[in-house]
Amino acid sequence: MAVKTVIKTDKQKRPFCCDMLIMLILPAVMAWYYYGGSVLRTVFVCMLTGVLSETAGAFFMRCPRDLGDCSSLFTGAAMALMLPADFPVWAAAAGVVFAVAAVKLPLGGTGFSPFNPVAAGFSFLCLCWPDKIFNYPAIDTGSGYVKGASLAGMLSVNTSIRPNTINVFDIFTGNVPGPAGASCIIVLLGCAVFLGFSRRRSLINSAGFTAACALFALMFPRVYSYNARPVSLLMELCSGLLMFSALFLVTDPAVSPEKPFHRFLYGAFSGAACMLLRYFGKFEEGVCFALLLSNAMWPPLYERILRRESKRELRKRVKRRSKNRALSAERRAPDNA
Amino acid sequence: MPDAKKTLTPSKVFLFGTIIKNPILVQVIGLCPAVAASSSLTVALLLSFVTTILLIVCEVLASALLKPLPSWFRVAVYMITGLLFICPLMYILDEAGFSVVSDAGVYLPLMAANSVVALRCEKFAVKRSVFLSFYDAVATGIGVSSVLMLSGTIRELLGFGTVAGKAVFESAPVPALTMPFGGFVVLGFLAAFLKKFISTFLSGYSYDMPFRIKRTRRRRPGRTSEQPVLIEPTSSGEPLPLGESTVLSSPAIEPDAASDPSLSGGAVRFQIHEAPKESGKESFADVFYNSMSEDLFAREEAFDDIAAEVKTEKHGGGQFTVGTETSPSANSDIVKPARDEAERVVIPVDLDLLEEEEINRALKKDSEGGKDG
Amino acid sequence: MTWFFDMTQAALFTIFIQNLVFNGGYGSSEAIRMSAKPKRFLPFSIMIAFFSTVTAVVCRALDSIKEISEQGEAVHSAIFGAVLILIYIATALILKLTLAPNKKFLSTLGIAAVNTLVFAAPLINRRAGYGYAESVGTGIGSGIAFILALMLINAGLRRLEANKNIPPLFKGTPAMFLYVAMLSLAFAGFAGSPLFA
Repeated sequence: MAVKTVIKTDKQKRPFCCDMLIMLILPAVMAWYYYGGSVLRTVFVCMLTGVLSETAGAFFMRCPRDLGDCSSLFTGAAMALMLPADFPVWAAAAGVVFAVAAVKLPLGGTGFSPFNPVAAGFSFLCLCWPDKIFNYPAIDTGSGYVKGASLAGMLSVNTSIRPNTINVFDIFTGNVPGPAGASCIIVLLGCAVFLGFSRRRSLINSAGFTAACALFALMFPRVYSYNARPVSLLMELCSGLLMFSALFLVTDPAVSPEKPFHRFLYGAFSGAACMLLRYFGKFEEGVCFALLLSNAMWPPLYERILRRESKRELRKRVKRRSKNRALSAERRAPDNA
Repeated sequence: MPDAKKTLTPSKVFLFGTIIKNPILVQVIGLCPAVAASSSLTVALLLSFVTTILLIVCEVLASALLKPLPSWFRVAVYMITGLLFICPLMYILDEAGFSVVSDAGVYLPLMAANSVVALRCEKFAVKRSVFLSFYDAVATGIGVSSVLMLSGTIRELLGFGTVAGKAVFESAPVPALTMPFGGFVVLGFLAAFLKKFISTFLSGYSYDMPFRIKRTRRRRPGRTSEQPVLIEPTSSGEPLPLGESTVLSSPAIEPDAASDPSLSGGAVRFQIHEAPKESGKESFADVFYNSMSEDLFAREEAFDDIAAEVKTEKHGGGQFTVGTETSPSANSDIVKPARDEAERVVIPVDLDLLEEEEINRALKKDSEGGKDG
Repeated sequence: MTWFFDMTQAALFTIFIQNLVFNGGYGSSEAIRMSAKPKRFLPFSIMIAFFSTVTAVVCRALDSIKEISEQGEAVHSAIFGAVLILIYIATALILKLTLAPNKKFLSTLGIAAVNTLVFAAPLINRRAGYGYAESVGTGIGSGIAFILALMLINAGLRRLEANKNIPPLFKGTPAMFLYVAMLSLAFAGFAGSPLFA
């Protein structure tokens, strides 16, 4: 089944990735605030690599080049902000090259590639340098956090989180070790507000994703404290790349269905896959693998959902039609009499 | 088409086996060693050697001696031959202290069950002479070996930073390429490169490498056990162009309904021809090969599938493709697939069509009920 | 009840954590080719599960004999291969004599029996030191992993077929390889879970 993508419609003149790029400005600023100019340099190099690899790839693969949709710029910027601040620049660029040249262009280009290029690129980097990609630089917070250990890392160890290790303010302001541009929850909430104004329908994907993750976090907490469930909810949602993915990756229109309910279902499906990967996966953050899985598994599921709905709708229509027919027959009967 | 078997020459067999129909990159067989095992040049060399020898032995054996045996039994013989060659080789190499055996892991004994050997023997060797089979074995061996070694070299260089164990880079540039995932990626790019190579230098043989879902069973006279049914338009006099035709060949098409102008509503009418019934015989290789849309040397032999149109229908907000089997211009004239054919086609989900059909049925039922009453 | 837990755990391990088709590459050519034929998914996967399970259990039983378990890799491979062939021939003969299936069915049976996925099951079990319950779990898991792979690749082929934006150079087999690569990449996220370690 092929889900047609609506990248640009009459109502929305601006390409989708352009909105995403605008949304990435704030996380980039926060990353610069916490980690200095090196992050911005990585972002710049990754964006440049994205454009260059798209140009070169389009030339060699003989496919149309479409830099105007900003997708290669978005791929580069998002990838850079998902990585630790001290991640080698050349390795980040390799991830972008993979995302553009091996995932996006050969499989149909922006909006048609069955897999999210950013998720694929990040997963590729996870397999290549697992020791570097989850080893975050320390932030001198002065609080009780283990330096260099991210929230997702602590959750994956299961026993690391105690009530006294949590400082909610630090978590919300991103003052904890983590991905360069994905730790500051307040900023991500601001991005969500922007998304709500610019692409309201896309926000439904994020809502479904977050809801499924929240449900998992409440049902199966990975923290040990007297109020494990709320703490688990907070920590799971605010850790790693979860919120960032909910806003920037799950909203990818290439796989998203159109109807709001279906969008919510798709988001929830991705969220469930994400939490399963977090619980049983190899890495502390499995959201990108989960997105690849849901990108592969969602379309056949969606097709079944649509068929079931169409059958239901059909039954309704037939019932309505026969009822109308019966009514008109009744009306006609006295006339004839 | 002229008989392909008669025009086969050793050079043609060689060209096809190595490049045009490369076993791994085009025919998609023998992927296990290519994807998983050949992450280094030495292992790739060992696996290439084993595959080539096995191919030569099995194809010559199959061509010379195994023709009278049934197809299902020959498959076991190929595996026995493979085990008889590989296990002593493993033992000798192990005793001699070569580490390549442990590097290859379980993949070396698995070569005995490799699909390349069984398929080439069944597809080619049992139908042709020993001489041609030998040529085919060598050509296929070279085709497999070249891909294995190329893939092994690339993956070792980028995955480990070495070539044949000698360091080239200080650290591994892209370690993930040593995983099966990397194998698939490398094969994907090699396949694209091969396609480009063929279209540039061997344009006479240039063709697309399609890999599409079989919606209908391939109809090959003399090969399939079923009676193929061909549908041709009679009103226009020209065959329906593929892609525009929405006809699905099916025994369920009622001749009366299809040919009756009052029912077809001015649409193109269909005439059903039944192909002559021949004894069905489908070998191991046929079953295996039918999953591809192209066969070696037999592409032109095959009838083109009268493909069901993949029609994009808009439903709700989302769009998805469905295959429908309607007549081109009249929606009401639905050609229904038979029960046993239903699985081969995508069920239509166009509400209007279904509703119309359902309503007609309900009305018919009502009217019958009314008569009864 | 322990045996059931062990079996389920081994099956889950085979399906997700170490999906034999995507993470191991076993039987990948059969999976890719068969994925174009949805009608044969279930029977073919049942055949795979049957041969994997029976071969794994018989090989496990043979491996419990001291004289055999002390042998090296080469002898084990020969014995396990011979067991697989015997099981295949026995099954084919029994089916031929009782149900009189057509040649197509027997050919499909041959593909299901003689492939790297089925042959790998006893070899992997031996390396992992699995018992009987786990061997059964691996066998059943192989079948389920295979049908999962078939369904995913089938969905991929349909999407690639409908996708008109794929560059001509990558249309067909190259795009299919890359699609399967992405599936393999996705399943790599499961590999090595501490739960099953």
